[in-house]
Amino acid sequence: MSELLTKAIAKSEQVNNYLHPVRDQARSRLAASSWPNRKTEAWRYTPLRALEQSWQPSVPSTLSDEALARLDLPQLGSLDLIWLDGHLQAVEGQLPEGLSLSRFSDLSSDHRQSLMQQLGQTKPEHHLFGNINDAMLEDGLWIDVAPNAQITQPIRLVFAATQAMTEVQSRVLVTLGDNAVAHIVEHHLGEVRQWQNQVFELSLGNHARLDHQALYAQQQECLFIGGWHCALGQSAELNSLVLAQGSQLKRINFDVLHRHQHASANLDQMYLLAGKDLFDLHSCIEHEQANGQTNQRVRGLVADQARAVFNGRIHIHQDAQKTAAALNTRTLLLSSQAEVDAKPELEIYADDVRCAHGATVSQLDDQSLNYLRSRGVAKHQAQAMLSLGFMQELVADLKHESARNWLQSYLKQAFWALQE
Amino acid sequence: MAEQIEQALKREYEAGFVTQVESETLPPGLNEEVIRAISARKNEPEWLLEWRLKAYRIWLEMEEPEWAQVSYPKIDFQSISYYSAPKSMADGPKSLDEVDPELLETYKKLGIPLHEQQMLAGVAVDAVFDSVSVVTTFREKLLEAGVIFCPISEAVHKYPELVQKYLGSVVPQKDNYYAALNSAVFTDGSFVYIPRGTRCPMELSTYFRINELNTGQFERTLIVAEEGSYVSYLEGCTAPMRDENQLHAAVVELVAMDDASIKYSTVQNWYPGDENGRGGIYNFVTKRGICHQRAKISWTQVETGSAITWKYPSVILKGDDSVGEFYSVALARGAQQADTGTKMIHLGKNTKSTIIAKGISAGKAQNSYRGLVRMNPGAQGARNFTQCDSLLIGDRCGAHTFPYIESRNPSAIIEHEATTSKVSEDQLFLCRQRGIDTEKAVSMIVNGFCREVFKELPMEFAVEAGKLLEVSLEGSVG
Amino acid sequence: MLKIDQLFAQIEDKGILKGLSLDVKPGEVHAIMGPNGAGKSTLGNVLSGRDGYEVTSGSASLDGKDLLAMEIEERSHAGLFLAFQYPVEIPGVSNLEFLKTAIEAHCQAKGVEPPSSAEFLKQARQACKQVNLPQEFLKRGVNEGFSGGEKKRNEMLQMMLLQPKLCILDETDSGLDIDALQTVAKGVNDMRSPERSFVIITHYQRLLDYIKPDFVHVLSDGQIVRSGDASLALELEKLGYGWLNAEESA
Repeated sequence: MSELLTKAIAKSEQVNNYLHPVRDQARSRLAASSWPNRKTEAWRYTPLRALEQSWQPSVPSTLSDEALARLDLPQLGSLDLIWLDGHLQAVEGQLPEGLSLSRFSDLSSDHRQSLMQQLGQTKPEHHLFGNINDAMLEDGLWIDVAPNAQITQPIRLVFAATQAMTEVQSRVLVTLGDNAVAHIVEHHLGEVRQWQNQVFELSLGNHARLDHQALYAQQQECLFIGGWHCALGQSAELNSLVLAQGSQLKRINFDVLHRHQHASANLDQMYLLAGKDLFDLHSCIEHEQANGQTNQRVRGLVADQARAVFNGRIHIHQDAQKTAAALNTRTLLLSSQAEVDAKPELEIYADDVRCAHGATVSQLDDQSLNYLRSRGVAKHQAQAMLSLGFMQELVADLKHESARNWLQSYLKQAFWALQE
Repeated sequence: MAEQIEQALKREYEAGFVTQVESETLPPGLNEEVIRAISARKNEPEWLLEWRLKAYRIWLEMEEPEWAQVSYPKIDFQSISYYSAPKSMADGPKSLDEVDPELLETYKKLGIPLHEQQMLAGVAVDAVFDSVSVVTTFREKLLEAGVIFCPISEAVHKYPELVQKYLGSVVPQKDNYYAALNSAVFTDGSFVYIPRGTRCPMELSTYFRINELNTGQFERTLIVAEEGSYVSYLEGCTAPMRDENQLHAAVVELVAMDDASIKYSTVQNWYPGDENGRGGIYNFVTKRGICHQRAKISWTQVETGSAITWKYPSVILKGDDSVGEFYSVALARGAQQADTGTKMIHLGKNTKSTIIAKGISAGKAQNSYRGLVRMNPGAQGARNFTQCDSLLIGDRCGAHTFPYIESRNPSAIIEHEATTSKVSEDQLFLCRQRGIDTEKAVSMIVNGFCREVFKELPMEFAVEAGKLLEVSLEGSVG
Repeated sequence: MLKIDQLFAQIEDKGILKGLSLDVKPGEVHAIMGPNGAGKSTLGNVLSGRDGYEVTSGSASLDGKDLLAMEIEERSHAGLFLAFQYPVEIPGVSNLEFLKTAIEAHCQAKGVEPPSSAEFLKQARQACKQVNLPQEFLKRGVNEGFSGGEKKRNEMLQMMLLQPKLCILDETDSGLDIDALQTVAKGVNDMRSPERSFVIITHYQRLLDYIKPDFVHVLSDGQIVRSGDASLALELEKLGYGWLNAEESA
């Protein structure tokens, strides 16, 4: 199935715009890559067979009011950016001071130069699908928050899949200047057969803060491969919560780079899988400099014949003394045909660090179950309450109220659907 | 401070001497002729030769594994000699009196006197020197209990039906690259058979010694514990200090029938090479056991030697209610690289496994834990607990953890914990304030870190393991 | 016994002790009180030789021997004992093993035979009883999973077994409930003798209700600004440390 590679390489030669250095470099990397198989460590548990179809490019379309209503987006008081099959719709409303949104294709020549300096700064070069995204790069969106700007209104990025049998490559760059604050919400949805390959590159300036929530709600037919790569400046703070449902193929590479000292990352990641879905989360936390902090919590519920794959890597470089990094992952299997494959890795090259991993795969804890039953709650009900509680714990910690309400109710709904 | 600690951990490699003994060594190189020559030298039956050749052909088709967190120049398998034995062993000495005194002296120097009356009571030893077994002690006494303990080359002749039945039954020839190589060229090793319902009356132990230059050691150990039997087996390993790397690719197979219990302990102290990574043994070992109903296999290892260690003693928990254990201390100093861990494959109901792995890294060493816990669909009510702790000493070493967790059964419970720590200044200060010098304090702290594993070792080996970390174990009180 | 003369010490480039002098004679109990940041803990650390503290001038001697020239463990062998404010945990190393190693090191330094295992065990059990710790604490890792009070009792246990000449208690009373406080005080009082001296560093007066000091010193900004008898502690307790500064500036 290296047709995809061939296609990406061909595309990289066809497109003609100022982004060609990105495409050219990716092309040479792709030429030297091979298609993953079961022996490829990064794809050990996740077969790519579902991609073996003939995908068509998606066609630009405009979102009608009815179609917008059908998306049934919750009220978050947000500034909304909507991609329909990879095509960004016109943005309505006034932008807050300090926020600028630009399509790569609209940039002035000065800005083009600074964009070219930013692209590829946080994305690792060895990611096959990142390279495919690079090779096919035609356009993208750059969200920039000026230094010291405090954008409290959530910026919501909606990615909707509506055209069947299409292939979508999308690209977003987010940059926060020093001391800037922003809140980004991602909402991915769609039910049609589509393949999306997405790359997010984010870069936080010194003392900048990004609050981030992402809901990957695409259903079964939607195949998704995403790279989310965030670099942290000195004393920068990233607070991120990811909630994902599975599909036939859904893979997210979630990377955080502590490029400077004293940064902190609080990462909560949850998945809720049913049917024959698959969800594969590969997180990679790089502590390159000293005094960084990472606190990562991962919770998963896996029902039916679904499969969860989790690879959590924490890499402490030699200069990253005094790092405190903790990863805790807990998975509940809810059916006898469900599967989980987890690998919480530690790679440590500095001696004065505090790193810990905890991983459990289990059923619900008998003690809590018995406690609830002793209070008269029926067993199946007690099980449901505890399983849901196990996930809700993380959402409940969200500070932003409307985002919390939205994700809590989504979680509940998804959970009860899974119980049926 | 890190330097002080590193200094405290340094020690001479005491087993680094060479024994001057005339050897008969096959010229370097590997092909079917070499395999036939090894087989002929051991006077092997036809089936075993065919078995070896089959393994060799499989090996030719395989690729050297590269997934471990270790790096070394490609091994030239044609530059290694696959058979070397002291000439004096050619006539097959019948008793200890006929064994070349040089050989006996070698083992004595290593702290393993082979004269029965000088030995620790209660330990029987099989001494393997390069490619042959020199002597096996207490054989008659063991036979009285029905226990067979002899070189595997001898078992092939004396107990062919047992060897044929179990050889390769746990680690098949095609299992992995080094196991295939071992199957093709293995020379000696120990064979243990414990009959039904028998508790082996003594500790069994094999002591492996590589002596000859440019020789690989490819030993094969097979332990079969029949229903309801028990055996505790120990192995130790050393080699001279040489500038060239030497290959050690062993295979160990354990079979624990219903209600049987095998305790297998290793104190591995192959020559680790010098501070700059010159010389040392490449220790690429496949160890695996299979547990039938209610059986138990316990691996305990203290890995302090070798330039590179690549080793994952595993248990297949086939029978219901069977138990697998893995207790490991891996110390990597200087330029050593260790990639070690275990696999616990849960097939049966209510199977249990425990993994306690302690890794200590110092100097420029890289130390990795790599483990797999798999709960198959049939592993109803199975449990695993894993604890991986790393201790880093100095800021140029690395400690890594790669645990694979695969669950296919909702009623199975897997718990994995990993931590990392260092010998803290506060701990050292407390010890020194109470009058204990740095060297002793470091030994004590490192030893404390390993305590959970050391307490699993049989007494005789606990002492040796403690010495290896320059630590006296438990005080004489307590 | 302990003689400190015009001691100046710093951490990195920050001066903490600024000309501290103190003379402790055999059998005396001195309490050193003072506000946070006065340099109280630094004093114990400097005297015991902890890394990171630099003595820039002045002297400190124990029985006429220059303390500052000695290694940490040599100071211990010379009879200096520091009871820590926050005793560290050493996982896997049993208390018993730790104590035995320490006592053997002391005996070796003095050139005397260490006690037999049986004798040592007897002493350890006896000391355990005295500080109200169950015997099983001897087999547990040093301070491993101990509560705050248990850690402090364990410090007393070590002090009893090592029989030092000079005991420095660094805020041993902090975070203790009344029972533990009394146990600690009893431990100290039992050990008082004409040959042994104590320096008790504390923020509060309350420990001194149980251990009667011969002298009380107030440490402020790296110097002893006032000395007196036990009544000084009561005065301080009543008026607070602010009173000191007010008086000085007046």
